[in-house]
This record gives sequence, C-alpha cells and structure tokens, in this order.
Amino acid sequence: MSAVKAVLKAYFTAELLRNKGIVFGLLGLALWLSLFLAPLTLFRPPQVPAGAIASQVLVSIAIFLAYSSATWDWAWQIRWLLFEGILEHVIASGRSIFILYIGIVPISLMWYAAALAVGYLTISLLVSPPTISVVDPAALVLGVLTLAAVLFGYSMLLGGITISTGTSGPVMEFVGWILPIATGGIVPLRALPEIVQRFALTTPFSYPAELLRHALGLSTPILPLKTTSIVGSFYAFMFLVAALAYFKAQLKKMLREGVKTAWMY
Amino acid sequence: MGFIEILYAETRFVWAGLLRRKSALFTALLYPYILTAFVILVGSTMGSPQLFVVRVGIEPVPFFIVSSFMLMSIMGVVDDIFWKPLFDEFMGTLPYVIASPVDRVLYFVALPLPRLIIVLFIGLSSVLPVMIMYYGVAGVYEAVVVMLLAGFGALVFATLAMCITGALYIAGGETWRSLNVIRPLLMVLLGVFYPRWLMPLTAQYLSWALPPSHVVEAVHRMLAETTGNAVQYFVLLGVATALAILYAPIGSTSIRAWERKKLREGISV
Repeated sequence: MSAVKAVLKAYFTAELLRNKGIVFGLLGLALWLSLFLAPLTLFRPPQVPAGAIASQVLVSIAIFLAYSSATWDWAWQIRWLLFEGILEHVIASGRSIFILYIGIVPISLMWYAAALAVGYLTISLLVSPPTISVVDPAALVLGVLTLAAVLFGYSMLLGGITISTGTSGPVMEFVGWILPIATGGIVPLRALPEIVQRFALTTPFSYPAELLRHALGLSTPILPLKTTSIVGSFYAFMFLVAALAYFKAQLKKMLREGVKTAWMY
Repeated sequence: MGFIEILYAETRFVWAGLLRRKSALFTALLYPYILTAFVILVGSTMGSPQLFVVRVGIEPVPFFIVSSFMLMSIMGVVDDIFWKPLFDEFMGTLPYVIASPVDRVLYFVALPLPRLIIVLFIGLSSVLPVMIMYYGVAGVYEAVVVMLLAGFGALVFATLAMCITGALYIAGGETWRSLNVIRPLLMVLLGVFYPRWLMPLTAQYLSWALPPSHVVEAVHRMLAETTGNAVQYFVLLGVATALAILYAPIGSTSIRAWERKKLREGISV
C-alpha cells in the first residue's frame, strides 16, 4: 500500500502540479480536437439536429480517449521505465510491476475525465451541446467494464512488445489510430463496410463499443444484444488473460536476455 | 564550416535516419491515409460527403488526402527546427553543438532542406495515386504541383519557426509542453483541414500571419476551381514569400539570442 501511495504522490506531483502538465495537456487536446472536428461540420445536413450529431461525436471521442489512455499512459509507462533505466530497478526491488499501475490508473482516470470535459466543451462550441440519454444502464456498465478490460489487455500487449523489441513509438502511433477506426470505436460498426464489420467482430475491441452505443441509444448492434453481451464479456476476459500471460512471458525473457535499449522514437 | 558542408552533413544524417527508421517512415507514409479515413468516416456518419462538396467545392477524398499530406509535409520539414535544441538537450549533445564552430543561423536554415525528401516520399505514396484515381493523367500534373507547393510551404515556414523556437527556448521552462500547444494551434490556423475562406474573420486574420497558410489556400483553390486563377495563386505565393523574408531577421536574431543565453548561462545536462 505504501508503494501505491508513493507512486500516486510522485506521479501527481511531478506530472500534474510541478510541470503544469494538466493545463498544457488539456489546452493541446482542445486544439487537436478543433483541428479534426472543424472539418466534420462541413458534412452536416442542416435538417439533422446538431445535438444528435454532437452525441455521436462525443462517444467517438470518449472511446478514442480511452484508447489514448491505454496507449500513452499505460503502455507508454513500460517504455518510459525502460527508457529511463528504471524497469530493472523495479524488478530488482522484488515488487510486482503492476503496483505502479494501481498508482497510475487513478491519475489516468482523472485525466480521462478532464479530457472528456474538454471534448464536450469543444463539441459544444463547434457543433452543439451533445444530448446524452442512457436507454440501457446494464449495457452501459457492461460496455464500460469490457472496454476497460480490453484496453488494459491491449496496453499489456503493447508493453510486452516494447520489452521484447526495445522500441515501439511508431507501432503505438499506428495501432493507436488504426485500431479504434477499424473496430468500430470511432464510427458505429453498422456504418462501416461489411468486410470491416467482419474483421471488427473477430477482435475483442468492437463489442464494448457496440454495447456503449446501444446503451446510449445511438446505434443498434449488428449481432443480437444478448450475443454481443455474452461474446463481448467472454472475449474481453480471455483477451486480458492472454495479454497478461504474454506480458509476464516477456518479463521472464528480459530477465534471461537482459534489458533492450529503447530508442528515442 | 560553410552552408554547403552543413547541408551535406544534414542530408546524410536525414537519409541515414530515414533508412534506419523504416517503421517510422512506414508510419509517416500511412498517416495521410489514416487521417483521411478518420475524417471521412466520422464525417459520413454525421452527414453526407455530397454536402461537403457543395460547401467546399472539392470531393472529400482528394481534399483530405492533399490536406493530410500538406500537414505531414509542413510539420515533417519544420518540426526539427522546433525540436532539435530540446532533442540535443535530452541526448546530452547540446553542449557539443553549442561549442562547435558551426554558425547557428546557417545550421537552422539548413535543417529543413534535406527533410524535403520526406515530402517526396509521402507525396508519391499518397497524393499521386489518389489524384490519378480521381483525375486521370491530369492528376499527375496536379500531384506534382501539390508536392512542389508543399515543399515551398514548408520552406517559407522555416523563418517563422526560427522566431518561435528562439523565443520559446529563451523563455525556458516547459518548452516541450509549450510546443505541444503551439503545434496544434499552428495546424488549426494553417487551414489544412478547414479551408481558410470558410474560417471566422478573426481566425483568418491570425492565419494570414503564417506564411504557409497562403500556400495551403493556393492549393485548396487550385483543387476547387477547375478553370484556375493564376494571378490569385501567384499573389498568395508572393505574400507567403514576403512574410518569410519579413520573419527572417527576427528569426536570425531570435536564434542568436538563444545561443548567447546558452553561452552565458551554460547548459544543464
């Protein structure tokens, strides 16, 4: 518990307070969102309520931000530990590496909430205030839980790749964009071409997004709701277990072969 | 060390870096497609591509592929002016760079030139195939003009980038965080994804201060108008050149002031 508190305090003080990271980070995020949201307004038909479109965009942003947290907070943490030469000290201390995550996740969630609020404000300014209504609370809870499980598994997979190769910047950038687009995170699966739908359903990433959109009344899942819920939950759990096993295997491999040198990018 | 020697050294450095970092190069080549897919997919769920054509006068796919390419090219070429001092500081090489007899202003002028190779690579893999697909043989000419203008847009940005870099690094503090705010702000004001003629007036005034924004507008107008208006294009390119020349002495002073500061105060390693 003391290690968790120490990590939480160190992360909070260093990243958010001392370096004013939250102020700069949120300012940057608002500008990035403006860059990509402004052209979307050029597609909008005048007769469709702006609020409905704004809620679609907000959900897309929420899912994209969740992917970003998993990539740039959780997976990047492994790369940062490797890059700074801290990873071997963490392992040598005899503590589990996952203690760091118990410290980081609350900060990450705080960031996520603040970033989502900035997203809400940007959409309200550029399009219209989103109209959000929960039509299926159970699906919402299941969607959030499966999304968290899938994304934690995904970050462990990326972390494992980083440990095994020593570099992962381009991989993370590429996967961080492609994955949410190709698996129905950004756009409802129903609106994507059939071949993309099929691909998306073979990955665990599409099910949480389908559940979330259904729960908010924004889209109906391609598969029946019951199937989406059961397959999505099972797939998320199995994916998390497999990713953790892969990550642990990479840690063992690192103990055998030594630490790879991480490169600047 | 003269300008040619610096340029030669930088060119070898960039070329070796591009070949060594194949995964980074591959990602850079894919980015125009990823950004285009992102905007068009989300835009299509919000409304209709036909409405985009009515409002902008260009099909969304060529518009966004060219815009993403312009964005990647301009930032790919100029980014090193922004990041190089910080990168050298992180790597611990800044003391040697500052102590070297190389003229700092010449070095910063030379930095973007070899990076035009990136423009060529990204242009050939994104703009050229899409323009051929949409406009046939005429698309080849348009693609070549777009690639030349993207390179020109990046070069006219160099002097303003030197002004910003010098000012930021003199101010010190959280430079990389400030850069992470300034870069998207510049991208918004460049008007790559949202044509400048549709921007609110205040944003247009701010955008006019950026030399490459005029080049981006010239490219957008070229794509939108089938007949074209040569005088208008040349006026826009002239304004971009004039602004770049105007920023040159400020950029040079700014870089020299940063160098003097480093020599006076030393470098933390």
